[in-house]
Amino acid sequence: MPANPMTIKFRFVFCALVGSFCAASPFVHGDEESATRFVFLKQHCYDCHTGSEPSGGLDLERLGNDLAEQEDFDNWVKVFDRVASGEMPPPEDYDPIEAEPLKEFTEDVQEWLATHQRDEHRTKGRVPARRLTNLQLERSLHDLLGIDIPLEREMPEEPKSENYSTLARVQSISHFHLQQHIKIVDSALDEAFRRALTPEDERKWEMSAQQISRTRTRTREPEFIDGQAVVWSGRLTFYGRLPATTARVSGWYRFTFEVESLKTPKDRGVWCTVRAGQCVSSAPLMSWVGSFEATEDPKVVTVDAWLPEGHMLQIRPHDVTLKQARFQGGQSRNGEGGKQDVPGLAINWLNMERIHLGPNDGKVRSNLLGDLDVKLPKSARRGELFWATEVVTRARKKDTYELIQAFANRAFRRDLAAKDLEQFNSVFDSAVEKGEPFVHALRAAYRAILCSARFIYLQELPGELDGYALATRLSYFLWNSTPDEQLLRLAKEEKLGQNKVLRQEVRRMLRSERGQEFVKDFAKEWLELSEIDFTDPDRRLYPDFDMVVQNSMLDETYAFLQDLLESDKSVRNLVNCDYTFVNSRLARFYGLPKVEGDTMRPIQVAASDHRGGLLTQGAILKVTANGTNTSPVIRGVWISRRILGEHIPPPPDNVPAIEPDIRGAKTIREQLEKHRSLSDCAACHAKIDAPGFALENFDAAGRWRDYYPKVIRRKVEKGAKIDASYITAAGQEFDGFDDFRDLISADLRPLARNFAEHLAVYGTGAEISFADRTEIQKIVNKSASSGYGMRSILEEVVLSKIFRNK
Amino acid sequence: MSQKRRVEKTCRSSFSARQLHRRAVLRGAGVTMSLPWLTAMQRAVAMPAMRKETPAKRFVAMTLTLGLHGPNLVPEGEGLDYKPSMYLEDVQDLRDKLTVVSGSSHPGVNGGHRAEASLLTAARQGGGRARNTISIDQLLAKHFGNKTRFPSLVLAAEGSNSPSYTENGAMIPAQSSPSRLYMDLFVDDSPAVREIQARRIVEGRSIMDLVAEDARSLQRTLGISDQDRLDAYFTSVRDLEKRMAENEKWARMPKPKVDEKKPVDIADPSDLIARQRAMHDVIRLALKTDSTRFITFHTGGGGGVIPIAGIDESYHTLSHHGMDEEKLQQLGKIERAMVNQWADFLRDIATIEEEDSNLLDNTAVLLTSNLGNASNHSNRNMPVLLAGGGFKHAGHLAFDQNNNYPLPNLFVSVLQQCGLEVDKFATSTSTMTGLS
Repeated sequence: MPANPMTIKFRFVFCALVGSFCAASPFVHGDEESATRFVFLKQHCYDCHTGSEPSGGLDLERLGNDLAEQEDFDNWVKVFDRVASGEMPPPEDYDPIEAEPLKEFTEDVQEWLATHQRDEHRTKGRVPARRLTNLQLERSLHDLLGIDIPLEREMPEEPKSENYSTLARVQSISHFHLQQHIKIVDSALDEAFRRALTPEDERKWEMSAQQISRTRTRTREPEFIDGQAVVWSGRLTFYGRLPATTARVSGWYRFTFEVESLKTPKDRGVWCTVRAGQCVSSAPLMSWVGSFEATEDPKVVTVDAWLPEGHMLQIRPHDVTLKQARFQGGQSRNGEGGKQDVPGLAINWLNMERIHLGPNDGKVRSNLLGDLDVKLPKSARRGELFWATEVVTRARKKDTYELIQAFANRAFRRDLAAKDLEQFNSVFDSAVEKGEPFVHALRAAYRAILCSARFIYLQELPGELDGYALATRLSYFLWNSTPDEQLLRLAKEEKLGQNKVLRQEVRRMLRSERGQEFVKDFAKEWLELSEIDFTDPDRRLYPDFDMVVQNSMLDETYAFLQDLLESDKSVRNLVNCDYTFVNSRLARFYGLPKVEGDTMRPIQVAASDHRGGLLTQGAILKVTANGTNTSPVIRGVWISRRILGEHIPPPPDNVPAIEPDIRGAKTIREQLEKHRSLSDCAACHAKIDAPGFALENFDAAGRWRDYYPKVIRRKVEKGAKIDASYITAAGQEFDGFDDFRDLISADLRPLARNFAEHLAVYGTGAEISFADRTEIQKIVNKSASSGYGMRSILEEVVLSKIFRNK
Repeated sequence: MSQKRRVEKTCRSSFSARQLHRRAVLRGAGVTMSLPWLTAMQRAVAMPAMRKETPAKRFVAMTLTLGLHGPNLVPEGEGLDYKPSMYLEDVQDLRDKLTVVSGSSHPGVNGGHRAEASLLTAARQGGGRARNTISIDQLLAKHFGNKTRFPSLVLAAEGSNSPSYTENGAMIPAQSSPSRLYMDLFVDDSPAVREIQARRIVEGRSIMDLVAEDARSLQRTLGISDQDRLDAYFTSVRDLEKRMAENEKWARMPKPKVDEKKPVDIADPSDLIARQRAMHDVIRLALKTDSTRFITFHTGGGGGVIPIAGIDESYHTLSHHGMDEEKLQQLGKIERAMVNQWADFLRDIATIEEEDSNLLDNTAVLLTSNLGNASNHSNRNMPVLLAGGGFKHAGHLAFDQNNNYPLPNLFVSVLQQCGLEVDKFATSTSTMTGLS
């Protein structure tokens, strides 16, 4: 690095200023720039940040000079950020540092830190080898083999950081994981070979209303009334179960059935849920399949469900706001529900089909066996002995090696040299030598391929990614799965690196069927929607919240984001817009004007509705609350980190935490005032508390409220009036939520930067480092011409150096 | 053969004269342990020719995400004459079987909830990027785990978080279904399935060789940048190979049978108390049948309101009590119920007789948490209850609340009691003062 004028100037300053400090300080390690940095710290920061109890736990006398030490590097970044933003020295206690020395210091430190990190990235990359996440492993196996069985649920929870599962830093491996991995690979291969080598298993059953109804008078199945299978609104467990739908084999099933509502309320239809389970008290867990609104006009509903062997469907009215029938003795007797004048659901007929999602058996076979013919053994029973299937090869070894090569290239996401494949061929050879049948020997080779580090880890070399690595990164970013033929072809032809091609591919991928999952996959991690089930809203406080509402909330956020991306709408909409997506149930829960229908549809909202934008969406409001009450701190931290892109550090490690004591305080606002009066907490809480307070009008279940609830002897009463006014860290006052969202949408750049950063973290597997900041800024600048369009930002992220280098 | 017999003999006697012989034995024969000890009931199901042996030493760690409220836990007075605290009132029948430790924690371990990763490893966390290392249960399993079908069990009341870590710092995912655990422990697969499994194990081992070779060539391509990552992969491959070799042996042996029926899993993820009870039952059976000797069982802080009368806020919310009396009162009920669950487990295993003692005397059972104060996320003054294990229990070991005693010393004592001759674990300075 050539010495720049700034450095030279610094040297003079250093000589003039330092004097005896230089000799005495143990922290000066020879070079002069570093000494001047410490002089600056001594002058402006040592007051508070030294001694036995340094402020914020940051002892600058112990700050080292060697950026290779992670802790020192992190602390220097902290120093830089606080000083550059003017947060430190605290303006309320100290005069601001003069402009010139401030600029010299920040520019010097910025350059020093960025240069160090860029060098490090050049040799090692910013991302260590990433492992496939659970979801990526499942989808990769699905796409490589053509199968559809759920695999992710068999895998252990994975470590996450900031709710991201893709971060290489937190991914670890042990023999437990590897063992689990082999088990998963075995299930996948068994299913693939079964599909390839046994007769097709698709079947269809047509059932009349009577066939799905009860056979006894007191039970939980639907009642057979006037040619219809009827289930009344009521809370009875397992009520509405359909034993006729019990799966004899685990698999995907498609159910098509005609429904209508009975004793329909005047202002609404009858919302119902479809769930699946064993429906017995020893196995009470039910899994969610779907929901619909039955109306007086008959309509046909179709749902797909994975049913493990022995599980059945349950279809019933499910709306806590409807009148519920009471049943005696835990069973419903014929006529017992109908007498009580509650709404009900009638099913006219039901068809059940065993189906496969994705490719058919022929495609599964060609994934495994190419175009080789098979002779199914005549004596084989279904699902057994298929390992003995004879495969007709022309030239046995050559054909097999070709199969193994084709499979390995797809699994490893790049064309491998023949010598790298020899060992997989030898697995086949040695199995055959041991007398294993052909299919079994081939399976062994595939098994080895799927346990290889080349499959489990993304292969990226330091520097710019080659076509294959880029195709792989892109594919796991947008699809969470292995690249398809077109991506691999473009990689092989060395075309994918061209900006135009890359941009086209992004659009193609987002439009594809898999691409429809991107928004959900990303939002589950970015917005922590994977945690939606973490709490149950208190029934007394939120009596009209139920599962249908919760799932509608998720659908609202997904539909909203999908629309932003598809139409390349501005990031402004994320926090400030006048529309949202609802169905009739969610509109009713939010207190919006009546909406018809059970699918999500866009609606305009009025200012008085206080809806529009992520911050008003039930899913977000729910994951940022604990089910009972709201905390401005939790919501504030969440919105700062996820939406506004403010870095909020965790509370310092070595500062003894202050014992929260709320006994003197009343409202949450007063409690926080107390907290903020402590200097160790004040700096961060200045940022955190504003967005937190702005959202206080939204309760823990996502409804608008003007008063806090007060629970007295288990009765809910009206409590204190909510005050959502506050002051932002920048000193702007606001008088409530509407005001606040105008403030944060006045400048779109922080919102765009935040979105770009979250995409980059998720898509590359590493946090945004100090050296990445300029590149992120470039992404933001480039997307300005689209008005900071959401898809434009995504495309610029993919085209950026961050995405295209290891 | 004759040499082997000599080692066993020395080893057995080493239980009564530990100080004299153990080191010599270890030096001569690697780390050796007495052979599995079996009750009359188990003799029918495994290793028929086994002779009567000294009961094996076991270790069970019950861990909590959200700590135990100090003022309700820490008793007044020191030593054997302490006056029971609120949480200890109900467990006074076990008074001479347990030690409560106050004023101790892991030196250099901070970070509130993040310190959970160091709960059983005591690894310092400097800078948040330091690598974790092996937990005490896994260290024991590494040395003695090959004596049982399962070297260790890593369990949780919900989710798969655990405080158990491998040597290279990977968290071992916990199992949270008592019914599935029961199946693993006691229900044999059909002979056909066993046959397939045995074949897959053999095939699996050869695949491990192959993927290790493959990874080596990949490593040459990738160069230094991902060395660490691939090293971790290698280690996993090697460890798994070792495990598979062990499994081959066990796969051919029938699993032990128990009279108890398969438990029903508690569906409500918030019902932590019922989930603890259900898992304790299977843990007891696992120990009783000598299916494993080292167990961790973690109770997290997730979920909503625990269904106990008088509780109407979520466990996690209550742990952030801010000294609010109503919340503290509710939290007290929950934590008391958890301590009582732990005590019930102790009582249960104390009824299982083993030679001249009982299972509790041969099992060190710990109850602890990384949080000394969940309300402010402090990692000092960790709650520590130790029971059984053949220790001479000391009542209340009261250390300095302001200048904590190193808790890793307790781990050294437990390791030694279990027969592992180490004199250091993480940041320990000695064995536990006051415990013998």
